[in-house]
Amino acid sequence: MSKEFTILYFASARDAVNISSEIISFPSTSSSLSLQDLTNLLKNRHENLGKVLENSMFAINMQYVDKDDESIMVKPGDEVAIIPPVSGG
Amino acid sequence: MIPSQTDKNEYEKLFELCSKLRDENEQLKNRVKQLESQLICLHSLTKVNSKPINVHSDLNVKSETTSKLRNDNKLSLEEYLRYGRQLILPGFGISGQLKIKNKSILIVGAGGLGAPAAIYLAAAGVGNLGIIDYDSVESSNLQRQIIHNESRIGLSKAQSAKMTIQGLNPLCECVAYDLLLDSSNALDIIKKYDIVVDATDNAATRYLINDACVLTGKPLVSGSALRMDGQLAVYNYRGGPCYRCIFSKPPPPETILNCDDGGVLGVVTGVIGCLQALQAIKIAADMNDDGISQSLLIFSANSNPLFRSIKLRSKKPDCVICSNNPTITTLQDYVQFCGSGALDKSPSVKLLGDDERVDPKSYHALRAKGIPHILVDVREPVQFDICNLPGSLNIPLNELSKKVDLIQQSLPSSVAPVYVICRRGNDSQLAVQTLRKTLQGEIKDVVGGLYRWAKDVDHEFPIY
Repeated sequence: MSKEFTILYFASARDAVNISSEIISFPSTSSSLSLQDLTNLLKNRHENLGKVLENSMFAINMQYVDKDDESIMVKPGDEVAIIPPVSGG
Repeated sequence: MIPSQTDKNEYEKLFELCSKLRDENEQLKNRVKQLESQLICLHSLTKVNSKPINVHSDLNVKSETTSKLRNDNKLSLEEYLRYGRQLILPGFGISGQLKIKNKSILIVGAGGLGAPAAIYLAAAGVGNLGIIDYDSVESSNLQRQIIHNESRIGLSKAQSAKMTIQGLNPLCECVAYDLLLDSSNALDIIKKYDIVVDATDNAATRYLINDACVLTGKPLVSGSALRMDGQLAVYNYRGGPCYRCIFSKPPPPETILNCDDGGVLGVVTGVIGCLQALQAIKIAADMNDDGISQSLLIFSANSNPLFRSIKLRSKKPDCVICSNNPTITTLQDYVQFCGSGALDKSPSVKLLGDDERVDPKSYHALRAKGIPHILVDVREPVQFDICNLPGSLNIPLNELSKKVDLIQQSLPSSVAPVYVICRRGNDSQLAVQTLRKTLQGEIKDVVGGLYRWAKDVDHEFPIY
């Protein structure tokens, strides 16, 4: 099993990182990540992403996840979507 | 005063528009005459009553009776004919048609989303549509706000939308609200309607509409679009979440782009607006769709797949407004909550003192005299490509701090001043503040940016 997960960036998150998706390897010591760890990892990878992340919704495998739920873990093969609100119209 | 070429062009444009509208008016007058004579003819044939016909007052009586027809469980012959293509749809049928005929839908915003939503809802035969917009039609709206047209420029968007709807389907009753929805009026308006369509363009109004829908118990069909992205969801419906359950914190104002600054492809708002009409019709007609209240559809015009559907949570047990123990029980100050207002125009900011700025006319004089300097244009390259001043150096604002050496290398002398320009004169002020951290000497921004340059100096320079 691959020790990787995929991140999908939408709307202003994609604009902030200039890519629509990327595959990330788990840190060597673990094969799962809490959402808080994920947030920190993404902030370190992309300096412009911090503010956008705070107001974005996260979804794992196309299902909403509560960012405050510490029991939720990202596992190998997961697809995590970063979905900021779009306000325009 | 000698009229400029721009004045002449403006004169010709207005002259052409006047004659076009006069022609249209003439055609409409003829059509009214034609219909009136048909009416008189029918009146004498049917002998509805013995009093002599007064076309105008009788027409008014007719419109009053139309409004009394609501809650009717029958369709008129005209309606069978008009809605035939959807009446024969299994799953919609005559019961669906009667339901939407007896429903009222409020569309907040007659812009890129509201335009197609209103058109499809009216065409489908929704009995009563309300349309709210405080703005008036501008030429830059017409690329996406297809309910308006060239001859409506300057007219209120709500009125213009109503005119289109009346022309499209006179059976749909439409109320135009020329106002800005806010905490003082939202509940009174929203409680009159069965379903609310959020077709607005800003975060503050999105939270306002969400809260008002929760407080009045109305389903909310929410759509949004910017650049190449769109989102669609139905909130506060059948135990599903409200907008705050999903997006509890408003985005910081500096991270929000509006269509004015970020741009938007017209068809992207069109796709989402049409889908909002679809969801509103499904709710109005009580059509079966299990997922409707708990999914967020994401549209990315540049990605494959174009659409992705995210399964949402149910109501958040501790949601501040829609849970069983809400902490918010009345409407709030949403401008304060979001840190930004409801007006989709970029407000002009003033970060610099007058001595740190130069107005376009003075800058023009300085260029004409050949005073050595460098002009830095801090817009994105895609905007720089549209139009730019000769000799300007393009460094986008977000790359500026990394590329100060490029400016230093390009300076004609070590004491030459640096001028900064952008589209409207906001980013250029931020840029001056950024440059001051590392550069010495005179650094000024051009007040009002290329917009003011076009207004005050060069009338041939494009405004976009």
